[in-house]
Formats: sequence, C-alpha cells, structure tokens
Amino acid sequence: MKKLTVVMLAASILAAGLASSCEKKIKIGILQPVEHEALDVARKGFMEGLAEKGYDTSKVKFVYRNGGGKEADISSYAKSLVSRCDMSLGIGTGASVSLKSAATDKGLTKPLLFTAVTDPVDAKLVSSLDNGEGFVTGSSDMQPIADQILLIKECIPSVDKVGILYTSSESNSEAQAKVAEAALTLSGITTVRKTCTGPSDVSSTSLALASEEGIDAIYIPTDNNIAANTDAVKTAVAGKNVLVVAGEESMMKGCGHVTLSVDYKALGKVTGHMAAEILSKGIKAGELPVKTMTKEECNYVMSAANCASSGVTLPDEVIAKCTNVD
Amino acid sequence: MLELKNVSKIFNLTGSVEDERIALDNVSLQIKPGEFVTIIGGNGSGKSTTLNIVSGSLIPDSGKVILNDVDITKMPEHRRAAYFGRVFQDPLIGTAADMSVLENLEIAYQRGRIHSPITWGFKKADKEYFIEELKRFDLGLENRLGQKVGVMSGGQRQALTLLMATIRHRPTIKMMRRDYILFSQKDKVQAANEFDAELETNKIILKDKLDALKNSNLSRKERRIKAKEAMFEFDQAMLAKFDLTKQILLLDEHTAALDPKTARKVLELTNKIVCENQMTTLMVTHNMKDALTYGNRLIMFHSGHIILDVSGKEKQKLKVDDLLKMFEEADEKLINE
Amino acid sequence: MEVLDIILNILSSGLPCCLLALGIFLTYRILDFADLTAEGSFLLGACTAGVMIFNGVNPFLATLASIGVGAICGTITGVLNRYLKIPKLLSGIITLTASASIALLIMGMASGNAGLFKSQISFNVEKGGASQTIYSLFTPYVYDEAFGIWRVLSPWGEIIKIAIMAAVVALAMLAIYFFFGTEYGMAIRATGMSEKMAKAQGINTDVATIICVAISNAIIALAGALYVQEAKSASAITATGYLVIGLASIIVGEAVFGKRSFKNWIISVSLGSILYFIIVTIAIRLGLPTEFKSLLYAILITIALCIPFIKNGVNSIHLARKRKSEINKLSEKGDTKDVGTQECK
Repeated sequence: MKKLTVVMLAASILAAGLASSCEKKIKIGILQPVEHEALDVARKGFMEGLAEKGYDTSKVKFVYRNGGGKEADISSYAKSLVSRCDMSLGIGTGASVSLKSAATDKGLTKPLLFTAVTDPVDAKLVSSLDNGEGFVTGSSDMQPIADQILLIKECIPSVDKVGILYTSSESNSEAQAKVAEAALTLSGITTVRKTCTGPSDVSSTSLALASEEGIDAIYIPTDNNIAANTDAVKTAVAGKNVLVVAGEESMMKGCGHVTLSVDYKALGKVTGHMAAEILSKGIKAGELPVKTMTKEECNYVMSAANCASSGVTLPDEVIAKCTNVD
Repeated sequence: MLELKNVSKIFNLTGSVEDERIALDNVSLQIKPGEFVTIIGGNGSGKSTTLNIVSGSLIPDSGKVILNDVDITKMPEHRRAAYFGRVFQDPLIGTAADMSVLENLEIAYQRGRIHSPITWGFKKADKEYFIEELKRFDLGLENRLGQKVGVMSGGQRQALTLLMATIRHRPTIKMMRRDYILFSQKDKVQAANEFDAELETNKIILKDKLDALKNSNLSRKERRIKAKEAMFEFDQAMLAKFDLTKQILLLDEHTAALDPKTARKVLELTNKIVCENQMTTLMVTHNMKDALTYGNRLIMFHSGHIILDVSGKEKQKLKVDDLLKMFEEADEKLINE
Repeated sequence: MEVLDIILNILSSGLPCCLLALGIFLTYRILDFADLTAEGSFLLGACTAGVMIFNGVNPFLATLASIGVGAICGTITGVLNRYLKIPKLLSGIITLTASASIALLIMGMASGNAGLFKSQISFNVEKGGASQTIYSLFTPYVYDEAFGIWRVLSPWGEIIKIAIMAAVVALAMLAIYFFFGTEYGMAIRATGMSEKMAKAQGINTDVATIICVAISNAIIALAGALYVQEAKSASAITATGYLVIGLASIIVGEAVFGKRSFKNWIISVSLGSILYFIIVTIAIRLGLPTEFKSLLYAILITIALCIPFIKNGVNSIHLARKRKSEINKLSEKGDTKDVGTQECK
C-alpha cells in the first residue's frame, strides 16, 4: 500500500514536470485572488492590451490561477507561476505581494506586473509611484477620489453630511477612506465613518449609516467585501433618500447611483501595453513608472434603475455627462 | 475512618418540584478501617450517589464527608484521589483505551503525586513491580504489558482497573509528613517532631550503608544494585511507620457489565486483594447473593435512606429471601405514605 | 529542473502545514477537542512575527513571541471551556472571532502606521536590510549586475529555507514525542481518553486540558510565524482555509501511514501534510481547473476516511474465500465433520 503510493506519486511528479516543459510560446502567468467583476474585467483588459500590441494567443500562453479567497492557495499558486512563466501579473494587492515574495525567495528576476493595487508603496511593491523597482512595475487603481467627492457636491450642492462605508480589514478601502475624508473635510463637509467586518454585517452597518441623522450621501470606496454584497447595501438604503456614490462601476451597478469610475478594462489594457513594451524592447520592468488613472481616463457612469427604485433624482447636468450602465 | 454526617443530595433542584429527585436524605454513616461493606438497594436508592459523594464526583447539598477527622466535603475529586481507589461499572472508562497496560499502570502509580513534565514516564523499576503484581491476578496480563488496553476484553480491563485502584502508590517523604501531621490524632508540632526524628534516624542508617558501599570492593554495577536496595529499605521503613492513609476502595457495581463467569473471577480477585491488604472497601452491587457472600458488613439503601445495616454474625445469618422481604416492606411503606 | 522546482514548491508550502497539522492533532486526537481556534492562532502567530520583523526585530525573537501569542490564545480557549463551562466548539469559535480584531490591532503596531489598526503588512527582505527572517539570515546572496541588487542564489536560497523549516518541524516533533512521554504528558493523554479515569487517578483535568490546548495553539502559531517569514506579508485573510488543510492532513496521514504507536502517529500526521500538498499540486499541474480545488479536498478526505473500511472489506473477502476453499477441499475428501453440522443429542 505504501510502496504503491510512493511509486505513483513519483511518477506523477515526473509527468507533471515533463508535461509543462514542452511549450514554446511565451508564458504569462496571471494570479487573481478572488472572483470579482472588476478584477475579471481587468484581467480581460490585460490580455486584450497585449493582443493589441501584437502579443495574442498565437505567441502567448496565459496561465490563469484563481485563489478563491484562500491565502493558502494564493501563495502556492504564486510559487508555481513565478518559476514556470516568463512574466507574471498579479491582480490585487494580495496576489501581487505573493508573487513578489515567491520571486524574491527563488532569486528570480523575471518581470512582475501588478494591477488593481490601490497603494503599491504601502504594499512594498515599489518604493515610489514615479518609477518601478527592479523587476516590478504596474498600475494602480487608486480612484480619482477627490473628483468623486466633487461629483457628490455637484449632485447635492447643499451637502452637509456624508457617510463613508467600508470593510475594516481591507487596507485598500482604508487608504481610500482616508483620502475621501480629507477631501470632504477640506470642503467643510462633516463625515461619518462606519465599518463592517465581513459579509454578515454589511446590511446592518449600511442601515445604521443610512439612518444617521442628517445624512445626505454615502461614499463607498472600492471594497471587495462590499462589492460582493451590494444587494445588502441596496436594500438597506431603500427609501431613505440618500445618494450613494460607489468607488467604481460594478459596485455602482449593484447599489449606487452615480460615480466617476476607473475603467478596469482600460486599466488592464494599459498594463497589457506595459507588458508588451517590456517583452518587445527587452527592458527591465523597473524602468517603467507605475501608472495611475487620471480623471480624463475615467468614466462618469450612473444607474438610472437604481435612481428610480430608490427615488433619488440627479441634476440634469450630471445626467448629461454620465453613461447609463443599465 | 470515613464518616458521612447528615448528607443530603437532591437532583434537579432548579426544575419544577415534580422533577426533583431526592437521592440521599439526611444520611449518616461511619466506616471503620478494615471494614468490607457491601451496599445494596433498588434503582435510585442512593447507593451510587453515596459513592460519588465520597469520591468527590458530586458535592452534597448539605452535610459533611469526613476522612480521619479531616473535612473533605469540598475537596476536588482529583485531590481526593490519593485516598480512594475507584472501579467503575463501565469497564471502558476505568482504563485509557489507546494506552498500553504499562502506561495505564504508570498513571495509576502516580496517583496522588505531582506529575512532573520533565521526568520520563516509564521507569524500569516500576515495570518489574507491575509484573509481580499482575502475576498474582493469574490472567496473563503480565505478558501483555505493551498491548493497548482497547483490544482487551471487559473482564481483563476491569481487572486492570482493580489493580490500578489498589496499587500501592509510593508516597513521597513530603507527602507522608503532610499526611501524618494531618491524619494522626496527635498535636501538629508533636507529630512533626516525631516524623522528623524518625526520618533523621533512617537517613543516618542509609548514609552508613552507602558509605560502606563506597569503601567496598564491589563492581560498579553491584554497588548500584546494593544502593537501590538500601534506598528501598529506607522507603519501606518510613512507610511501615507512617503510612496512615491506607486507601479506601470504592467499587461501583464493577461486575455488572461482565458475563457471569468473568464477574465471578473478578469478584474473587477483589475479595483476595481486599482481604490480603485489609483494605477498607465499599462495594455497591445489585446482586443480593454477592452482597451476602462477600464482606463483613451490609447496608441497604431505599429512597435515599439506610434501612438496614448489619455486620459480622448478624450478616452471616441473613438469606437472600430476608433481604427481598425487607425490600418489599420498604416499598409498601413508601407507597402507603 | 522543473521537477526540482515542483518538489521545492511542495515542501515550502507543506512544511509549515506539518506544524499546523501537529498542532491540530494535539487537540483533535489527543484531547478529542474540536478546536476551531486554529485559524485564529495561525493568524495571530503570522501577524505577531510579521509586525516584529517589519519593525526590524530579530527574527528568532519574533518567532518566539508568536509562540507565546499562540499559547495565550490556547489558554483563553481552554479557560473558556473549563472554568466558564462554555462548550468546546463555542470556546474555539469565540477565540477565533476575537482574534480577527486582535490581528488588526497587532498589525497596527507596524512602524509608521498612523492609526490603531492596519489591515495588511508586507516587508522586503534584502541583504543587510532592516527586516530579516530566520531564512534570510542563512541565505546566500549573489550580486546581480543587471538590476544592481543582491538577489538570492537560486536554488540554494530555497533549499536552505526548506532545510530550516524541516529543522523546526523536526524539533517540534521531538519535543512533542518527549513531552507526551513524561509523567505529565501521559496524564494529559489519559485526560483525553477517559476524563473520569483521569480524575479518579488524581489528575487535575482542567489544568491538563488548558495546558494541552495552549501547547497546541503555540505550535500552530509557530506554523504561522514560519509561513509569514516565507510569504513576507500578512493580512486579515492569511489564515483562511488552513483549518481544512490541517484536518485533511491528519486524516490522510493516518489513513496512509497508520497510527500503530505514538511515535508512528506523529510522523504520519506530518507526512500526511506533505502528501496532501503533493496530491493537490499535481492535480492542478495536470490541468484540474482551480475552481474544483475544494471538491478535490472533499473527495480526498472522504477517500482517506474510507480506506480503513476498504482495508477491512478486502480482508473479509480474503478470509471468506479462504474459508470457502477449505470447505470445498474437505467436502472433496468426504470429510465433513469440521464443517459445523453438529448433530443434536
């Protein structure tokens, strides 16, 4: 019994090893931490961006791994991807940090790109946004928060109190909340911060915030937990006549009314172009600066259905510049 | 001497009045050293409850449990364990199934002592002692020291539990001194002085012996053996004079779950050990014939009271029919009340 | 080279999980206590070591600190169960839930953090840098001209890392083996098997349980410390999914390698962890879509649990066949006396 197991395992290890060394295409590994619309869109954008620059599936093999929210899986995929592939992409902070850590441990310097990471400096991926570092570079999805706050003022000129809703354990959300609070305080608007800890209290926290006395609007930064539970937020704010500005498009579709959103597809594409540049010119990844989206590269989007169902009306000028995503 | 003074125990006190069950009602009892008491009674009469209160599994609602003039009513079970050896009705809980016979015996041998986290649990000298003791059981267990207890039959496990309950645990000098001061009828200071004096005397004897060995011509190995013998004699000398707290054996229907043949064997074993060591024993049984055959005192419980307490010749005169008649009478009395 | 790489990946993921499996084994098998604190102590062990290394503390101290934190977690669970009489499962859950907040608090102590909490930390380990791990202290570096940095000499860096992990695991196994052979260790084992017997033999079962749960969680936290020094980052989801892996390792290990003696049992549990990672890695390599991973876990555990039944079934069939052939042989001879048709007198 034991001998048979050992022989079978040895054979499979060999088979697995041999199977993957027969590819002649460029291998690009993609590591995504969890299934999530924005992240999926970014991934597809990345692959499109590379195809646009001539690196389509005839030249490139994409190895895609999804960690399913489990750190154990994310870190073990990271290890196999950095060694097998010629270049890797991490989508989101957790995945990117795991890839970098695995690459450093193995002493590899193959190009490593990240995307959809809100604060790459805090995550120690690069030391400043002005340039990449060593073999690492990428794009940040830091939303144009200041402009999103301006959008709130546009919709409600007499805005007095704005609530900020996010999940306490997500560092990206916290970073964005800080920026939002600063921008709001600068405009003389009172802020109320409320955090949830997981899927179970999204509903109660949003209800508490929406029922807060004198609240005019709620701002929700890009937050994985809330993005997965937008229905709870939508039900909670129903009938309270509170404007909800969500950090990005897919969240807004779920529970928000209007926003100025980073186009994740465009973000992915931009990263794809960076990858293509590295591959074609053979330069080091660190030579490219980290890309952040400017206001012009973002889209004004609104959800007419959500506005109608919750009885919120947006000013005509705002509606004019928004695309209805319904 | 073990004493129960006005002990009462009611179950389900917090529920409704109908749910309340009076297990023991103001029971008082005195057990003298060396008495082999058999306890019988119907279901719910309070016999198992008595044993549990004595051993510490249950705390009585009122009353006291006194051992050698020390009130142990509130003493936690594991602290009392040094003075009581228990055999349970279920053969499976008296021994640890996944551990070997040797390991179980080592644990029993540690009863009442501090379990040290840095001393290796298996000691060679102990193993020889266990083999000797197991041989007397005549069950072949001495050849199965390494075998896991879980594969053995109920009867063998019960016999092993019995040995574990009666094994003479070696008290340390410190324990002996503490117990002697606690349990001897003398004044504390006097007892302490007496103990220390005897300890000194024995220590000097031991020292002389060891010095003699150092200057002798024996080989290292022989010297070590002789030294161990000398220490053993020292232990025995102290034990002989100061080991007051002979264990009390508590047997809770320990043959109820065994087949008749094995039950017979275990009972005979019990009797042999109890008589050889003159152990104070409380044996609860539902078998009236056994209750009469063994022991020198019989107590019958009914609805939380003691309705019969006979010893010696009076006990020998009783027959099973007499007991049954008494039992029925007690029942009728209860119904008529 | 590919094969070496696969083996190195499996070992570097699997070895910290050996410790995790050992820790869970101590409560689940020895005390028959389904302790859900595991993910909590793993997380806190990772965060404590992570934050201390982030702040430049000596990695050995950081690792010891995380062992201490794990012991505290275990003590809390034990006290909740034994002195507050909270059922075992709930005590573990309570500590687990609390640990989520404590982890954020601990990570908030990373130097340079403005607020009380922080939800993710990562640190860079460079030659001569402030943050060093127990692996990097022994890792050989080579100067890379192209990038102008010192990078790890591959594959020796990884091999040394795995050697250090293996050394820690081996030490832990030895410590467990010797501790549970001492007087107190045997007392703890007895408590787990039959509490009534343990009490009757003079063992304070409350204290014994609490100490065992504390040791178990200390080892799990050590696993977390080993993990964080490899991953160089920690966040709120660091421990997700590890309880299932630990339990699966124990079950697979016992089924394949047996549990004849205590020594054998400890080794089976550790090997089970490695075996588990081998199976899962190979399945993914051979093309299993990652979405099926959870299903694979479930099937593996079920098969592992069924192996004893299958073994018994095979044995019974063998015995039945043997008996049948004996009977056939005897009836051929004409001698049917042994076949059990006794006449009644």
